[in-house]
Amino acid sequence: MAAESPDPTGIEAEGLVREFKNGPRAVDGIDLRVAPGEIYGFLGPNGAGKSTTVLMLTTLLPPTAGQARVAGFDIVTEGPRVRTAIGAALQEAALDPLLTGQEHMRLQTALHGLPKREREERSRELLARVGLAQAADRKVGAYSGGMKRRLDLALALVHRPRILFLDEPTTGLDIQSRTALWEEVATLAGEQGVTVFLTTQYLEEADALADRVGIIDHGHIVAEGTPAELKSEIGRPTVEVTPHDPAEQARVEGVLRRFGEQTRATPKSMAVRLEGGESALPEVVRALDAEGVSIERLQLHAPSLDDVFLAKTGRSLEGAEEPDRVDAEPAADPA
Amino acid sequence: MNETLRIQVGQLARRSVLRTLRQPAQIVPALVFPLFLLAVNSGGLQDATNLPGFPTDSYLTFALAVPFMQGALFSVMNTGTDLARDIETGFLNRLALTPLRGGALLSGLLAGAVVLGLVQACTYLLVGLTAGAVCRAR
Repeated sequence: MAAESPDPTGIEAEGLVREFKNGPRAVDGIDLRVAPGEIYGFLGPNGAGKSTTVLMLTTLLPPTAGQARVAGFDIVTEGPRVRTAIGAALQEAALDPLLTGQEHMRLQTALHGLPKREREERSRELLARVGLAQAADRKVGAYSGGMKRRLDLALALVHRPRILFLDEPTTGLDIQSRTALWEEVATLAGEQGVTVFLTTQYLEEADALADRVGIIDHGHIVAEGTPAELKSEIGRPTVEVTPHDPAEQARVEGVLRRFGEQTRATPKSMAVRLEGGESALPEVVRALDAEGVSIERLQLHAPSLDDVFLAKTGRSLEGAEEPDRVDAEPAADPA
Repeated sequence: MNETLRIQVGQLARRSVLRTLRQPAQIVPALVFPLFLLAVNSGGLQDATNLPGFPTDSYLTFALAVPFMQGALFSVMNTGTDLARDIETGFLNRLALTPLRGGALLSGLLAGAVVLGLVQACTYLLVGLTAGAVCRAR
């Protein structure tokens, strides 16, 4: 790795490893390069090593091996300088239920050394921005999950960080809160040039928000690229057919197999990855019609990031979590 | 103490005091329990002052030191519990991501305990003096 990062607002990691005592390697030699202003989606199931990576990059957990530079500073030897350049909203919105939103902001702005007259102004501005101006004087214990997440984001932004780490920011949120947070993150990156490192286990989140996606599994990055690139690697779309009569599944299967390799579907339907791409769809319809099969539903699925995960790991992302693996437990026997 | 450290300690102490004030379950037992024991002991053990060499004529005066110690113990226990909770909830990680100094964290938490301790001490002293404790030794 270069001694000085050429890019003062990006993230670079090389051979980053975190091994827990008597446990597996939560992160097993990952290399990363996140460009300034980029939203990098770090996608993987629970226990894959996402949060452990974030804890290392935010200097909260020392790596067992490897090097990383965040905003141009080494995460091990220049921790304080890294911390002044970054903002982080970690997996649990760590808030004090007995304090109000405004009191949280006051504490955070003061600890970041903002001048007194700027503290109130910055707090008001950020609370308004995340839609919490009306709830600023309410205790956080009475906030909903979405409000806590938005306050967490506002707290991470008080010192105008150049790089923002968001660890599963929308887990457990309803779709409305999730969309609002996505918009805010997109605005931060798009209008203010903030580099965002976002971990998620939601495919649609990575797909909708991230400029580039790294897929992590068992502590390794198994695929990396823009969502479009990753999906184009898989290439072919899937057609899924549900017959009216479940007894006709075998006939549907017989027809579909002529067009490609069988893939996952629901118990009532059949699906194949179309060898001939989307243009093969009319032929499929004609073949099913010629067979005289009555069709209840026919769907064409574009390749998804789940397909990418499936292709790279042999497992589906949904339900791929490893209960026996350790992830993001810094208190658990640091090596 | 430089300006940055003073602000950091002040803000954390403020949080600590606010937390305590908003949890009556932390304040009331810490205030009432030592006073309750003081009332029971000083009411029932007055005869102990007849022992040769006993330092005062009033057992209440003698026993008034105990609530101070009990109150301090409650304050420190509450502070320790608060710190453990901050670690468990990740709030300490939030603080660790700011330019907060380690000394300020400890001083801030302890300052909160000191404020509560002072309130307790004043209460015990006031109650003790009102009940007849004397300030000077025999």
